[in-house]
Amino acid sequence: MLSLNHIEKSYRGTGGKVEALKGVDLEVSKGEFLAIMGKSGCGKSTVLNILGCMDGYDSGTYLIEEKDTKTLDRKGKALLRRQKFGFVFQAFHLLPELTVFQNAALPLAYKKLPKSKWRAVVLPLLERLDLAHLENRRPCELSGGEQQRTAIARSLANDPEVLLADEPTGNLDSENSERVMELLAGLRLAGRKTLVLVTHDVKIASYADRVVEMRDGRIV
Amino acid sequence: MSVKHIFLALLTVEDLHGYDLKQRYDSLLLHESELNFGQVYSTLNRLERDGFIALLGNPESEKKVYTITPLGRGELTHWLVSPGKESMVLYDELSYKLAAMDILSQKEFFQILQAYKKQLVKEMQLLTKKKLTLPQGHLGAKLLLDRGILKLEADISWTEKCLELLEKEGDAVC
Amino acid sequence: MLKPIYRFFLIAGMAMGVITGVFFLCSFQRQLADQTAAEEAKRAMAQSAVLYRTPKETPENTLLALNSMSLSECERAMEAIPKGWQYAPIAQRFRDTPVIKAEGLVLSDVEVLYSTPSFFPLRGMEFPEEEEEPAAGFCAVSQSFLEAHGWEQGTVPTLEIDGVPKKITAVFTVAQAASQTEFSLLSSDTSLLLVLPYEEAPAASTEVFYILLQKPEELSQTEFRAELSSIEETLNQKYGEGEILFRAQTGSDFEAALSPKATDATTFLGIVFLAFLGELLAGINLMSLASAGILENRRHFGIKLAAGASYGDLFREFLAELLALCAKGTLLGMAASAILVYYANRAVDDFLFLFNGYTVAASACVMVLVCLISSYLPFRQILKEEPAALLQKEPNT
Repeated sequence: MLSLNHIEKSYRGTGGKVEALKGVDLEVSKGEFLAIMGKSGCGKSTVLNILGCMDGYDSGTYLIEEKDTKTLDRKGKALLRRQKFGFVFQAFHLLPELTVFQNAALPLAYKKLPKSKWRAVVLPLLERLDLAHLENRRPCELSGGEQQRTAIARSLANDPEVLLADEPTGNLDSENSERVMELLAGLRLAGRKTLVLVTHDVKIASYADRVVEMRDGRIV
Repeated sequence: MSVKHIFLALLTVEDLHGYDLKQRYDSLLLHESELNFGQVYSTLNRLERDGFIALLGNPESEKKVYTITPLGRGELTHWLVSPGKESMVLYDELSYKLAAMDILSQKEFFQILQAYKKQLVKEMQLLTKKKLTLPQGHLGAKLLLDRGILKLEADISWTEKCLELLEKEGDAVC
Repeated sequence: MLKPIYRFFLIAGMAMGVITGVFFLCSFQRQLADQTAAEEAKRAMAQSAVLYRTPKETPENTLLALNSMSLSECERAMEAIPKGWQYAPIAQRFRDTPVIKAEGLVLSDVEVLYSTPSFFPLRGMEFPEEEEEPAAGFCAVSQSFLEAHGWEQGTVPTLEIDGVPKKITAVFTVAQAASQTEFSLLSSDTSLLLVLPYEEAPAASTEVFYILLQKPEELSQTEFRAELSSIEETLNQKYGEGEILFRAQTGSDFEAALSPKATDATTFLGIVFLAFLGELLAGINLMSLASAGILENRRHFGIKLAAGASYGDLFREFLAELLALCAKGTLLGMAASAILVYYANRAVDDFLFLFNGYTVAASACVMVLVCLISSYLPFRQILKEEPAALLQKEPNT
């Protein structure tokens, strides 16, 4: 379903040109749970960003269901992000001025769904993630685990086909990490979604069906 | 393998039949290593001989139900509390493999370690999957799985260290 | 999205900018209005002329000097005027000004001019009504004369001028009676004007300041000027006393003879400069706060992009927030400037600020435009970057 073919990417760092990806080939099948494992700096986050159209690449091709992403303009990419992808980040990235409910409903605003319909979509998600009692709290009032679960709710708001998680347990303790991983694994199965997860922790990667290792900008 | 001590622990809960003991043992150890009836009865005989368990009721009756004796309880406690040969860190299977690998070339060693790591990761995936599908309440089983996972993690970390070192040395040589 | 302190400075800065802008617009409108009025007046004045006496050489930078004529001198001057022309002398008493009484009380501070009945048509006013006793002559007063003494239009009293009762036969506005220039040449600038028949002026104590002339319809402008020149020549030949000359000029030339009102121009330039400064500072304030807001919100933008927003959505959100704040600032500034303009008009006599619907509309348009620019220019930085870069504080790892 998602197909990376000899993707190369470099950027200008403080010391000169840095090659983040040196020819990455990766196939992600529909419905699979894939983990990309590697040390920090190996380029795994870059791969995830490219998959989610959050970043560009220098050369190679990226096909989404046989369609080349190079033909997409910015608006097209935004549409894809809205329809196909849900993101979960290590740092949660919640908007501090919004409540749990509003944060979870954020994608719905850009989908131009009328506000009256938001509750019907968001509330079941919050309940499933055991957050319903916190819906009017702000992120600063929540624990790390609760914040990440809010972020997961947000990633599911538009019912995307693909979930992309970048070190989702990186800022959590082991108990919360387990809980979040159980949730992700469960949600993914229930929704028949594709889940691509990036981590440096092999225990987290082991939740996946398939583990792929990256080292120094390449898949090994 | 302390099969007998598991039997003693099971008997502290209630008096059991040989068949029940086997069932419960297998279930506890997640069917990783199932006992055959020969093992079951030889273990029970030894336990009876040592006075740790006793036959209940009529020795002639078909159903042989066992019960734990005070001596048995003492033995169980003793075993639980004393540090035994938990894992012979330096001399397990892997250690033997390492000794063998010393003989092989560096390049082959590297490739084997990579394959080994992949295997370890696969095993961890299996254990994690088991943990996910574990029904609620089986604390013992969960802890067992966690232990396995953590041990695998340690081995994987070690493998990675080896690979790094080999790479560095390889660069130095080349 | 923007921090409270930024919001405060945005609103305050916007208000200040609006205040300076409004003042500029008001004064600009005033200038325009004055100009159009001046243009109209000029056109009218070209149809008329002034015959007066002045020293041969006037020192630079002094107002036109007017030498008055005695009544007899005036008679001689009027002889030089071609037949059929309409004219009227303007005279004042320099000694023993008439005593004016109304309802038994003596009125002070009243300026009395003496002229002939043709004064009224020359000044575009209607001829005063014929009295039952034509011998009584006309008595015209200024509107402000009545207002100052509290007499309504209908209850015009009978005045007693030097003991002789006189009914008020005509009312005019001060602007109709004489131009600003003429007023500056007369003895005072009072608005309480009384115009009485020329014949009633005692010869000994009365002086004629100038004679008003009207261009006959059949003459063209050039011909009119030519005639005026010949009147000048004739009089100077006959009666020129060396240093003092007769001058006959069209009303517009007469006005132009005076040095331009430098005060108005400097005030206006001053206001323009201050307005420019004010607008510049407000613009810088707005732009820098918008830039700071955008910079600090990079992460927010990245998060929203990940949630499915387009760059256009982000810009519209930011613009909406900025517009809302600027609208508040504009309203505040409008209210403040309305009050300030009112008090400024009360304080300053000769430079009125014109505050009306156009001022408000123009300010609103400028505000929206400035908002658009201030939000778009800094936003271009965001447009250059990919969403992933916005989410990170350091370059990709």
